Amino acid sequence: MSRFAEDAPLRAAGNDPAAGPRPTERPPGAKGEPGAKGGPGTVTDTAAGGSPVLELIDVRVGYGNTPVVEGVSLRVESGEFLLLQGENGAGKSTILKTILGLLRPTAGEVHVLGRSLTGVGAASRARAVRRRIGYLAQVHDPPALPMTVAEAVLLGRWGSSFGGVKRPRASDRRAAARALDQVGMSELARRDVRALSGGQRQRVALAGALSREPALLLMDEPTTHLDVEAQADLGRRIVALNRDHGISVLLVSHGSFSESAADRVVRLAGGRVAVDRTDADPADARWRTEAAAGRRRGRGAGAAGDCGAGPAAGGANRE
Amino acid sequence: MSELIEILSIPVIRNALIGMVFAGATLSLLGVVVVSLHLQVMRFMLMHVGLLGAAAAIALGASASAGAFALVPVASILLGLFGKGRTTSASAAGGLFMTGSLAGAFILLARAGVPAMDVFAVFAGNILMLRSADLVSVIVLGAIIVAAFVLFYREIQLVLYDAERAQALGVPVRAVILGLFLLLGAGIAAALRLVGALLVDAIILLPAVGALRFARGLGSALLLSSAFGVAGTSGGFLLAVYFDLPIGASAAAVASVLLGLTALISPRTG
Repeated sequence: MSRFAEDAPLRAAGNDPAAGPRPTERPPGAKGEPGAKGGPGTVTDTAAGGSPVLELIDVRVGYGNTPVVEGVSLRVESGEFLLLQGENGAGKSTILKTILGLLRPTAGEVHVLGRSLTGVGAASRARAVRRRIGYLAQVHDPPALPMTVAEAVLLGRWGSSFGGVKRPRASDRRAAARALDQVGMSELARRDVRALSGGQRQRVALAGALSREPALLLMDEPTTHLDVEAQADLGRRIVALNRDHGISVLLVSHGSFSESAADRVVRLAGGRVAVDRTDADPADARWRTEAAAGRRRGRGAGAAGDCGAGPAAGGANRE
Repeated sequence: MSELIEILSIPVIRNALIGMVFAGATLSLLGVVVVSLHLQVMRFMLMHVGLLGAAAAIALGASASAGAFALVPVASILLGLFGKGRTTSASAAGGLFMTGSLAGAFILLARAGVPAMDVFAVFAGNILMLRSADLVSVIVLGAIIVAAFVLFYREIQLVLYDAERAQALGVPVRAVILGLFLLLGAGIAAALRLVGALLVDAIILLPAVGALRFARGLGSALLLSSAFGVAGTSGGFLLAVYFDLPIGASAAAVASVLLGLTALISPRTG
């Protein structure tokens, strides 16, 4: 059983419908709300006026004449952790690219951090929005280009304050160092990224995303291709960033990331929302209780678990 | 030594040395791009497109460099625009380009009745026939390459390191890659003029491969690649002049020895 999975019962218990309001109705002082107590890097200015950090309204996106996303509406509240699931080709990554302003929707509205990414001036607004978004993709093969860990993290600040002939400033290096510390990689700052394991490279990439001091973290299959231990480690860190620092998370997964980590699970099928369920739903809470019991039994038996245990079981029970 | 200085005082020799050293210092920077973006097959294709262009130009009575410069950058842009997503057949395409270009070049040269020495120059280069215009074009191209790396250092670094992440950050990845492809095409055309189609790697690829064994970042990779490039071209040139050897082949031989040495003493094997 992974250490990451051990967090799941805590989160499930904290979101029990009997214990309090739904995540979208958080009381003052709750995670991500004004007055919340968090550690260094806590997000307090996610979106003006308490609006959601992200809102997609009836969005349609396609490549050429082929529609990929058809009429999707999504909303991520400040401090919320939304897990976006779906099979390959369901439109998950297309949605992330749309949120990043890399794809333009053919219909609908996209609002990120209080700014509309549709209509006139959308491109410049997208650039502004990207400064407050951290993005983490799935781990790739080691790069051919040599680079120190510190440099790789610093590059995460590109477009935030430097780029082109504008060189990084001391504040950029400080932000990168803080981010590196957040993922526990400071001691490897001078190591060549090519010499790191896949899990370590993914932590470096996460630090790069955090170096932007993001209000919203977008992640595209971040634990795919990692070994079980690295999946657990990265999963635990992502949960902690959301829970302790109030960073809103939209994590895309085809099913390898534990559902129990998320406040809400949205499942896409054929470019549309097929399931949208908060962890306060009674049926979901029942599943979580069963899943947690299963995890405890697994621990007791010394069985090896991973992030994948949750969703696989959840998917079977929930649909 | 005095004999060497005397030889170097001859304008055509001096120009050739300047061209080789400048090419070694600047065109070798493109090798870092080739290795980082895994463009080995593409540069192989471009070398042969250049060969075909040079042969076609000679057959038409024009200069070999003009043919290479006309065809290779265009081919590199086309590969950049349409090559994406077709990498699964890259080896097959490389073989096709090599065979097709060689066949086309030989047919054109044979039909035009080009003398054997001129044909040999296309394959192995003839730097002593370097015209002032060729020298200027190498210098200008080298200056553009250096300027591109200086002005867009971080963007290039991001694209070479992780293009997906670069795109998510908002880097105009496609424009950066197309720009690099264009420079690579022009660089191959220039190197082809200096050392011939068969030895382009001596200037562009081998210095970068050696440099990447020691480098700790893009900056040091570029500096080391440039240093290895200068060492290979100038060392090869002096060796050729001193021992009366073909210059392109000597430069390629020195570059190969240097790469072998780096493989022996580098901290990494990869």
